[in-house]
Amino acid sequence: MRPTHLFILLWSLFATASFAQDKFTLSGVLTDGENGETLIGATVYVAEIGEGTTTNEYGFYSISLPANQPFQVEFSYIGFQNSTREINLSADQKMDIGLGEGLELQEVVVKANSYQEQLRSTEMSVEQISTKEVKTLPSVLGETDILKVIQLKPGIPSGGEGTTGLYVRGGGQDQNLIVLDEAVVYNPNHLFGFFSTFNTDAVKDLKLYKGGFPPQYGGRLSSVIDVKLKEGNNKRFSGAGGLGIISSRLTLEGPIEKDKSSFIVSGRRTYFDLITRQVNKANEGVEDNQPIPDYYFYDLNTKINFKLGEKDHLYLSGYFGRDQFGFDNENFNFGFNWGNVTSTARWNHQFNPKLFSNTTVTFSDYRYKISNEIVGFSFNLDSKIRDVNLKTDFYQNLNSKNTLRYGASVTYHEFTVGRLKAGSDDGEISFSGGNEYDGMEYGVYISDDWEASSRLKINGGLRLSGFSNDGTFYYGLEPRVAANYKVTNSFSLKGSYARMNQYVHLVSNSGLSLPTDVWYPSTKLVEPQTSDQVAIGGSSLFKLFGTELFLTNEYFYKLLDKQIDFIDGAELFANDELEQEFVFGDGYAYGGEISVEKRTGDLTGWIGYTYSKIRRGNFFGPKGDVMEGRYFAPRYDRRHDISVVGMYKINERFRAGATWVYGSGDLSWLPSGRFTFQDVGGADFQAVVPSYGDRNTFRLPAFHRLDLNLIIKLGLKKKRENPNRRWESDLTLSVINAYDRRNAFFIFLDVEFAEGTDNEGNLIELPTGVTAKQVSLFPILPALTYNFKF
Amino acid sequence: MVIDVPRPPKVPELVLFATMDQRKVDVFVTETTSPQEPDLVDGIDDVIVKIEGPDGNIVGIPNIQDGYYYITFFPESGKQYILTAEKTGFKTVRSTAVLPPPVDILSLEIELLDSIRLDSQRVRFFYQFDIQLEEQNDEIEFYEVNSIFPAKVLLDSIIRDGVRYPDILPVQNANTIELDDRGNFFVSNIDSSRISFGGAFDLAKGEYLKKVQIEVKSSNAENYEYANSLVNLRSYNDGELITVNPVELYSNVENGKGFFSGVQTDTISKRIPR
Repeated sequence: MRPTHLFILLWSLFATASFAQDKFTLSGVLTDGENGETLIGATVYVAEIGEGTTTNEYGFYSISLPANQPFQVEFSYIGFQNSTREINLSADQKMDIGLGEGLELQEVVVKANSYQEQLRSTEMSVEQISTKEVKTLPSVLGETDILKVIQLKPGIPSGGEGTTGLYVRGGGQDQNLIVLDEAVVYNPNHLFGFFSTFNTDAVKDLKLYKGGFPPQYGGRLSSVIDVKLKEGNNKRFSGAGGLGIISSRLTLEGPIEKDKSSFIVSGRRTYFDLITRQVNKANEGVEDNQPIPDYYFYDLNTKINFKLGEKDHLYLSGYFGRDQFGFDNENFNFGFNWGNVTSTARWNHQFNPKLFSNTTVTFSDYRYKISNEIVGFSFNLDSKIRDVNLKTDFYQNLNSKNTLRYGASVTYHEFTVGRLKAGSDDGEISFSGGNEYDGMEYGVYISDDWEASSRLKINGGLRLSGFSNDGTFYYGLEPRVAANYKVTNSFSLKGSYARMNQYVHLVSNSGLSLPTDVWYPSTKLVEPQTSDQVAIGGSSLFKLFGTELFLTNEYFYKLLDKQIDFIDGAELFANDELEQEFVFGDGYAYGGEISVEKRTGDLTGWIGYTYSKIRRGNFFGPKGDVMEGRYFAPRYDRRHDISVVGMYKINERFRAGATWVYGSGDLSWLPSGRFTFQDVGGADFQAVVPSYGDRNTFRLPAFHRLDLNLIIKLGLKKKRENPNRRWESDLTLSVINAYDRRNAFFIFLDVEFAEGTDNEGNLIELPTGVTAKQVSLFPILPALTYNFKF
Repeated sequence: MVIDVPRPPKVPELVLFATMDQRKVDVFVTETTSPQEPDLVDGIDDVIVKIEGPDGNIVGIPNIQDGYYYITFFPESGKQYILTAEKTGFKTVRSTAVLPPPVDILSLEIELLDSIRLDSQRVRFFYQFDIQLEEQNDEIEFYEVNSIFPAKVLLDSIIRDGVRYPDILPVQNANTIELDDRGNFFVSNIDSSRISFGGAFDLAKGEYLKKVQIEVKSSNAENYEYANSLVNLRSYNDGELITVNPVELYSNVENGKGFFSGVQTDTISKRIPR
């Protein structure tokens, strides 16, 4: 940093009030004019001076302008009509703006200054998606899923078909911080990962950071997924819902007091179990009948908010979701359920036009339970993680060049790992196991968004985090810096560095994101994971054949340390001494991402490509070195990932969507040979023993799939006859896997047997070989959903 | 929708299983085959198998038949021996093992603890076994305990280094791997000159156990790793074990697969009064 710039920074930080009076501050909240929802990341731009800002996560903006001069201040947000106000400040002024909705998503002309904010912003490695876009894209079995759609963006490959496991820039699936209204969601999966826990009707915004993490976020290495719930329509009572082939959903929202308080309730449930129960009932008494197990999931989002005067706003929200899988007959009873509960109480306070605060208390609980009863004997296994968190964040518009952000948080974690209770009904047999832990996690941060010049913007910050558990205390400094250099009005270069620490770890039984994965704290033996990530990139706006396109490309390099893996043959299930199964190592990942977006016209969408390479290794454990100096590719080391997404408005009635994805196959560790086992001590039988080479050297076939959908708007004639008619509906036809590609869901080894005899002449089955079989999940899968809103 | 996955063939490697005790070296040599091939290879002959002692003296081990190689041999305790096997078309494999100190069993005490009727034809008897060794030897890391007669017995972990390893079972005799169906484990005695364990035998109604023959081997950490991996491999193949990574049989053979172990053995027999 040049001395001149340092001096300017220090001078502006300690500027006196008398100096600030050359400028005054315009501040306020931007909302959706139709329903009062705050708009996150909306642009406030003053073309005359080339300055602007964006609304924060709570819709708040603050911009300093020269005093006593007229300016045209433009407020804009994609999907909405721009609003321009003439402003001449002779004092600090508060101005809340409600933006009117654009006619249709594709018809809104996105003004140059909307892209300008992306070109100016220090934010990089960020993906954002609107629920409107999500609803126009194909969905599995008619269930629109915002988390699945974000995986169509570059750099965010999924765990595979049918899962919502996220492996962002080489990170494991436990290295993603997922928050819903600031409460952590530990398992964002329903139905073993087929669907996420986020009901699109209840979600307002989803933002995913792949790098360049702002200092207010911490605790995970590889990504932050920040999901915000809607607040509820504070203008009028409204609703929306859908009837699909496996589930239905309903959302109701409205004002408690118009423009001052509102509520929203949104729920959904599958009903496949209602059908299977009838089938089972009809087949009762049939010989060799195999009853179909019950399965269903449901979730409920609720929120109310109150405007307590001009400067205060209170929000209370909650989420409750559960998956239930079970089997019940007179001799055998099996139950498996899992789910999340979160609740958030949040208070926004505006101290003055330049200082805004958010204080939040959240509660999170994730647990699973397996229960089994057979005549005279019962078995129960459960695990859970529970958090209580208190945090506060301040946003301070220091001056026109500096916006400070600072805050602190503390979280109490409670872990129950593998609690096992089993025994006979008469009490003669009983055993139990499991461990409980607790820990405290801390974080304090400060950052400055500094406009160093008209072209250079820097966001620099520092986070100090810590974790304590049973006498062990860890802490770490996490520097964060991001910079943006605007080369021209249509091209900018960006760079970032972030160090992250992670104090809670996911212990996974498999490469899939299963509900039986357990969360484990850092302990004396298990040190925190760390990562250092550097990213550089550029964004440019250009025209091709008269069409405006936005190009983003980024290149990253990430170093990881204290990564957890497992000894060979590790048993993670109901194991009281789990730490003995761990080994610790390091790793690295690097790659590049390119995307080209088109946001205007009848045809919109994007094409994204990701190249990445990931390695893990150098492991050591309680019993010594496992892989000193040696590295291997983890299962999710996919070299190439392509996504092509398109949304086309055919006419007023018909709208089509299509996605095509391609990814290099996952890696698998399959036996590369086999041999006869012969123990020279004189074992009675021969066994086939698989012989494995190096880890994960077998690449499954490439994954690719085409999904299509067609939205047919209903009731258009009635709407034309009565423009005030509120009821709107459509039929959505989805076809998943349109060309019936059999992608690998997982590989299992099938042992083949032949009849033989033992030394005493008894007939036995001898294993003769091991073959690898691929299980595919989705054939071509159509679905029809009826959607409505009023 | 289950689809077979084709896998590339692998170049065959030599596999050897060898045990060295105070009187002999037993070796079995085979080779790996590709997963695609329908037939397995049994033992292979005409492999040049040698053992080299700490003094550099190399002795060839003769081929008996069907992949078996055997030689009468008197290794020294605490010394390292190098076993090699070579055959045209394969990489030469090499493995090392140390012969642990000898074990001397002084006495065996057996006490009947309980019996339960399994069904109308069979009864299960639970015995406490106490083996007294001649002396404590800090150089012995592990003991393996096996029942030679009767062949089918339930045993618990007997680890002598002060650390209890749950679920490890001696596996020299494949038929010894079972769990007590009452869910009870007998806790090992950590007095290093004494080995205590529980055992159960199933007998026909009206029969009783007349004699037992127990074998005790001095062993080491590497043998434990191998034994544990074999137990896990069997459980994994039977679908009883859920693990993160595939279970592989522990190998200490360079350029190949298999295991070369050094053990010293003593046995004791005892008649059991009715």
